[in-house]
Order: sequence, then C-alpha cells, then structure tokens
Amino acid sequence: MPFYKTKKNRFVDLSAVVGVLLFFALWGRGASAREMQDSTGTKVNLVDAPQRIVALAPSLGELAADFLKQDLNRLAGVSEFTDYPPALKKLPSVGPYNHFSIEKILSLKPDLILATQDGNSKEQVLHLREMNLPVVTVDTGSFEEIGRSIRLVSQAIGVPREGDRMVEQLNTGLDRIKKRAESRPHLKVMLQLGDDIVAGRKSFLNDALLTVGATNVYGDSNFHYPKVALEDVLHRDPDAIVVIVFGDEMRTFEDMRTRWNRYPQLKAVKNKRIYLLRSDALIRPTLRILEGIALLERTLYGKD
Amino acid sequence: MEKIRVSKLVTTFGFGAAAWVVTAVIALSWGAVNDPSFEVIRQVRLPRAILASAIGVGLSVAGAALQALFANPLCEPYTLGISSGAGLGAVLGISFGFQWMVAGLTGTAFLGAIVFSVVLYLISLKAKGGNTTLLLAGVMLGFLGSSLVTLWISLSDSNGVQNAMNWLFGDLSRARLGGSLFTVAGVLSLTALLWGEWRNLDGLLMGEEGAAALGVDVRQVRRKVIVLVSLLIGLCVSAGGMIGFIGLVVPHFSRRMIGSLHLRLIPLCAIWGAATLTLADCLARVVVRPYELPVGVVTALIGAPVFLWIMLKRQERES
Amino acid sequence: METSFLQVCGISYAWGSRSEDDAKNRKIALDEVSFELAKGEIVVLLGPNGSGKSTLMKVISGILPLVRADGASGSMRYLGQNLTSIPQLRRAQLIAYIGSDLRAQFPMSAEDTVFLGRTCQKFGFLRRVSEEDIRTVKWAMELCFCWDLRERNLETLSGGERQLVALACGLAQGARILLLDETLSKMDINHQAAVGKVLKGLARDGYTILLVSHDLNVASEWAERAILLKSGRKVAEGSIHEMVSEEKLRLLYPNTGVVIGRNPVTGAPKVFFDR
Repeated sequence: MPFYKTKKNRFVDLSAVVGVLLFFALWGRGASAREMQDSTGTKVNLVDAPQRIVALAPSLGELAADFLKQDLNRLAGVSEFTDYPPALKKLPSVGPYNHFSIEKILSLKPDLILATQDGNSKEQVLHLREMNLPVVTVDTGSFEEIGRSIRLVSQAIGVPREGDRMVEQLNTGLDRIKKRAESRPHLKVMLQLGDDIVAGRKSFLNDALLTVGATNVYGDSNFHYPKVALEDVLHRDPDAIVVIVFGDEMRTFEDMRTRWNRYPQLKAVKNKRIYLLRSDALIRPTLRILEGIALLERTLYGKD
Repeated sequence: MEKIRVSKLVTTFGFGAAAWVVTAVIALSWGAVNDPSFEVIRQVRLPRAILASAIGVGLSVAGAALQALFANPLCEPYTLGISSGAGLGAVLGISFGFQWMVAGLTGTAFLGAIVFSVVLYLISLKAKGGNTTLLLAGVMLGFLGSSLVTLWISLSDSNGVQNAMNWLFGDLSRARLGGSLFTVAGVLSLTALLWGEWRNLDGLLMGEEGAAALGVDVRQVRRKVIVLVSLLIGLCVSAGGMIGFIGLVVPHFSRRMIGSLHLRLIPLCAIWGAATLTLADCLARVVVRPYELPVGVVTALIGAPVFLWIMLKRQERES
Repeated sequence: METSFLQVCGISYAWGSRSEDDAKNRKIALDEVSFELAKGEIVVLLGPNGSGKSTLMKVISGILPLVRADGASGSMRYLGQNLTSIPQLRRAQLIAYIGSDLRAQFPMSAEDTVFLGRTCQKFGFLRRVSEEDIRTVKWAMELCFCWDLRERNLETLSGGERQLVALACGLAQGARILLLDETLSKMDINHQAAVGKVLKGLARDGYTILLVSHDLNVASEWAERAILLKSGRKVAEGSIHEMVSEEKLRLLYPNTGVVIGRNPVTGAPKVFFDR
C-alpha cells in the first residue's frame, strides 16, 4: 500500500520536516539569541541568559552580583582582589585586572565576559574578541557613565529592567545629595590616595566630591591621579584633606597625618580637618556609591 | 680534521633539537590552568610557544653576531641600545594611540628600533676609532632610550603606564597565531642573511685589524651586520618587549659546545635560543599563576648571575 | 725597465681631524714615503717609536685605508698594477700583514685560526675546504713549527707560539709579500733563529718580506736592506751594512752612543750600546 495514502501520514511527515527545521533554527538562535552594543560601540552576540559569566574587574563583579542576586553560581570567574560581596571571594580568579590570564578565562568556557575600559588592557580584550568570545565592555571610569554601565551590564546579563530600576534609584539618591549640597559652603578639599598622589579632575573621586558640594583643590589637573609636589599643596592650602584608604591600611593614614601635622600653616592642620575615609564603595559604579558619597558628606560636613 | 667533527656535529645539534622539542612540549603542557582544553592549547599556548621560539632565535643570533662584530663576548643586543629605541617607539605609540597593529605587533616599536639603528649607523660611518666608539655610542643610546621611557612614564596617566610596564620587560601574552608566524618568517629570513656572513664574522674573531689583514672589508661588513642585527632586534622587541641576556648567554654556551666558527655557531645558537626562551616563558606563566611574570624578569634573574660568572672567569683568565 | 715587485709612492697619512684646514689637530704619521721592494728580498724598517713604521705597514696591507678625504694620499703598485684601491680581499691574497699579538676573544684552535687565512678569501655558503686548502695549512704550520700545536686553544699558547700561528696564517693566505710587524719579538731565541732561517728560505723562493723589529740585532741577521724612518719621513735607505752604521743610526737616535760590531759567524752588523 503506498505510504502517502493517508492524510495522517502526510501530516506526520510535514510536521517532522518543519520540526527539524525549527529545531535547527532555534538551535542557531540559542547560540546567539540577541545582539547588543557595548560602550565601545562593538556589537556583541549573546545568549538570552548567560550562565557562565566572567567579570574582569572587582567593580564589575560587584555589579554582576547585584543583578544575579541569589544566582551567584552564574558567575564562573572574577578578577583578583574581588571582595564584595564576600561570597565572590570563593570564585576562581582570572588574575589581576590589568593583566588577566587568557588561558584561565578560556578554560572557564564563558558565555559572557564583562570588561571595563578603565583598567583592562585594550589589547587583551581585543585578543579575547578575536577568539570569538562574547565581551561586553563598559566604561566604569567616569561618573556620568555609571548609569550607562549599570544599564549595559544588566542588559548583558539579561535583566534590563533591573538595570533601569537601579539607575532610577541611583539618580534619586544623587539628586537628594545634590540638593543638600546647594546650600553648603564649598569646601576646598584635597583627596589623597598615597604618598603624593591625589585625585585629579578625571577621577571618580573628583566627581563624588563635586556631588557633595565641595571643590577639588586639584580639579584643574587633567590626570586621573597626579603626583603632586609638597610645595604646591602648601600653596594651594586646602580647607580639608581626606585620605582615602582601602582595606585596613590604618598605618598609612597615621603616617600621612603625622606628615601633614609638620606644616601647621596649613588650614587643614589648624582646623584639624584631616580625615580618614575607609571606603572602597566610593569607587564602585554600583548603588553602593551612594553609601560612599554619603560617608564623604558626613565626614566633611558632619551629620546633617 | 673535518671528518672527526661530523659525529660531534650530529650529537651536538641532535641534543639541541631534542632540547627544543622537550621545552616546546613542556610549554604546551604547563600553563595557568592545570587541565587545559584543546582550545586553550591551540589558541593560547601554541602561539606563545611559536613566538617564544622565534624571539629566542632572533635574540641569540643577534647576540652572536654582535659579539663577533665587537670581538667582545660581553656584547648583547642591548649594548647597542636598539632595544631601548624599540621600547621607546612602542611606548610613545601607546601614548599617542598610534598602535598600529599588524597581526598583533606594535609597529611603532619597529620604527623606534630603526630610528636608533640609523643613528648608530651614521655614527659607525664616522667611527674611525672603530668598535670602542660604537659600543659607547650604543650604551649611550640605550641610556637615552630608557630615560625617555622613564620620562614618558612619569608624565603620563596611570592606565597607559600599567600596560607599558607589563609589556616593556618582556610580554609574550599578546601572542596570536598570525603575529607569531609573521615573526617566525621575519626572524628566519634575517637569521639566514646573517648566517650567510659567516666567513666575515669568522674573520672578525681576530679583531678588526686581524680581519682586515685576512681580507675582510671591515667597514662594509660592519654596516651590513648592524643593519641586519637592528632589524632582527626591532622585530623581536616589537613582538615581545625587551628580553635580556638570551643574546649573551646562549652564544656563550653554544661556543663551548661547538666552537666559535659561525657556520655552525649560528644555527646552534638559534636552536638553543628557541629552547631557552620557550622554557623561560613557560616558567613566567607558571611560577606565580594566575599572575604572570614578565619574561624579561625570568631571563634576567637567571641570566644576570651567569653574566657575572662569565665576566669573573674572564678576569681570572686575563690575570 | 724591470717593474719592481712592490712600489710605494708618496704615502702620506695623518691621524686626527679630517678637515683640510684644521691642520693643527692632525698628527702627521707618514709624510711622502716612497720606496721599492724587489722580489725575493728581505727589508727591515728601522726607526724610533712613533716614526710611523706600523702605520706604513698597515697602510700597505689595507688595514688603514688611504682615503683622500681623510687627508691621506699616495699610491702603491704591485708589478705595475695599481694597488691603492683594490678590494681588501684581493689585497689579502697579495699582501699578508702579520702583527705582534694574535689574540682571539673566543675559543679558537690554532688550526682553525690558520684556516681563516683560506676561508676568508672564498665565497659560497658551504665550508668547502679543498684538498689544496688542507695542504696549504699543513705546509704553513709545519714551516712555522706549530703543526704540533694545531689542536690547542690559542689562549693556552705562549706569546711566541701564538706568533708562530700568526705567521702560518699569513702564509696560508697565499700572499707573496709578507709584512711582519714585530712578529718575532715574543719568540724565544730558538724560535727566532729558526724562523729567521725560514724567512730566508721563503725569500729565496721569491717571497718579499718587510720587517719591523725593535731588536736591530735580530733584524740585521736576516735583512739585506734597511729603510730608515723618522717622524714619518724616510731619511735613508740602503743595504744593511750601510744603514747599520754610526752616522745613520745617529740620524734616528741622536742621543744614544753606539758601537758597531760584526757577528763573527755570519758577518751581519751588530749594534752595541755605549754606556
């Protein structure tokens, strides 16, 4: 009896063919479900919900963790010195952000790599792209870009609405602080990071300072973190000196305070306005920056 | 005389080739991860091993040629200051965003090497005092290059600096297959040209006057060798940063194995240079993983004591 | 007219500044030196330190090129052919300069060193050492009493032994004009005498030998003629007996008293210094 005699058989065949075609179409789609553009303008093909994410900077690890919430196992690797949230410390490290190990990354088989223009080597990122790995770059070096970075990372991870929500929260928080800042005297502050290194105009810290209503005494410098001469500091005579310390470097702060105390002509010394600020939240492009800025605000202007 | 040597040749070169194969296998098997996938080996370790071999060949042959040229076993590619020129070129390129990438190589480094070697060449035209003047000029050029690099680092911004510091002291992590093969081709052709000069290089072993007495056109040979060596060094530094001591140590030990005559010395230096740098690069990747030591640091840590030892032995012998 | 073997004409050479008008800074090493050498003769260049003897030898052998722009001038002819600007390779096949201190900074065996005399003159990538090369090297080394030293490293040889190797190397080049610049100075008396005999033998075979020796008495044994140089200028020339005389030597060493004697066996003139 001929095979196609019955309508049922034909139907089965047709649906089988369509099914196979659909399968291949979906399979292909599954491998690159969507396309997005990152901060460098590169178009990146990503799966809908990446399950093996590698973050190439501590700030990116933090941001990713914020969006992943409980699903931290979707993070396959982080950069060295990632410490927030503490759960990330247990994840495999791909090396320091300025020179990570490509071998390590490859072996983690990532389906999304988060990189930053501020710290990761352009060449290494290019290398990763050349190996057809999906890399989404954000620019975490600039305050204005925080919003955009948050949105890009949330989009990459597959939760764009979370990103929008976070940006809203961030902007609301910043507006509140800026409002308070309007009525304040503009203190001239020097933000010190190391022996003679201060935050210049192009740094994150500079923008944080401006938000709370103070001015950066070295705000005219084009560098991120210029090295300054002692004479120049004495000349500029800031109203306050804030020593920013990461981790537990109490001793550095003591050393620096002792050093400045040797120059009693400084306003900051006379008015005892040499402060220690222990907060890496100030430099993370996540919601935590609000904490950091609030801390800075309290330090400079007291509890309002 | 020649007959006895054949078996010695076979064993010496055979040993060298075996050493290279062994180090290549080690370099492919060890790295930042313990259980590498095939992709890791193919995309990361293989280009690096190829590049390390190529640069090892280039630097050790350049070293041997320079030692013959200056009749001084303490000569190094850096004694001419050309690698500092290459470093300067690269670092300026990064700073001005002129990173011209040809299969991953930094074109400005190449330009820097050529500029410094042209200056050296012009000096060599005037160098009636011969080799001493040239050596000093090279040392000064080296200082100039390094100082300019330091100046640039102190004037510049933190990001670029970090990247340059990684690269300057030897960094093969940027190795891509295309770039590595390009470097291999370049190094092999320049090495072949230098190898072809073996008669003149042998003559120079007797010193400049001795060479002239033997019939070598010293001025012309000096020029030719400088150009070839500069191109070789420029290529190697462009591809992998400043890596020292290979050009000193490999020729020294090769000579002990096979003598000073360049027809055999140059290929043996090439083989052992490839093996040495491949191993050094592997160590650089493995010792503090997932961090990476700059390869130049590894070669310096091993090479500098060897350099001192060679120097002291020479003093001993001379007294 | 018979063309002399080697004819040197008006050689001038100066060290120091290059420009024509900066004459103050130039040290004149040679000033219009001319002489001729015949085939098969042994001639000694006599003169005080700094008189330009080495410079003259190096100019003849091409080690110091006669570049007009550097203030040098003059011409040289070999059997009538202009030697002044021939390629160094060709010149090394005609003239061998043998210096006073053979040193190699790298490990080299004596034999390899002598072979350099042959390989540097050849072309081609492979080290095709012909039968003739091997024979020539053996001949040269045996003649110079260093064949037994052939496997030894140059560094392990004494000064005199190295000089024997240097001489062999010069001979291996195939040159028929030999310039010996203090070559015999480091050798012991034994070797000096033996080498002297060898030189005489070579001269009989048609080699032309120009010697520089600080030891007059050694040179006077073997040389037939002498050329006297002082401050870069040729002040006298003639047979060895004529030149090794009180009046001629006073031209060179005005403040030294000398007495001339004779070797009782060979009759060669000897210089004895007055106290």
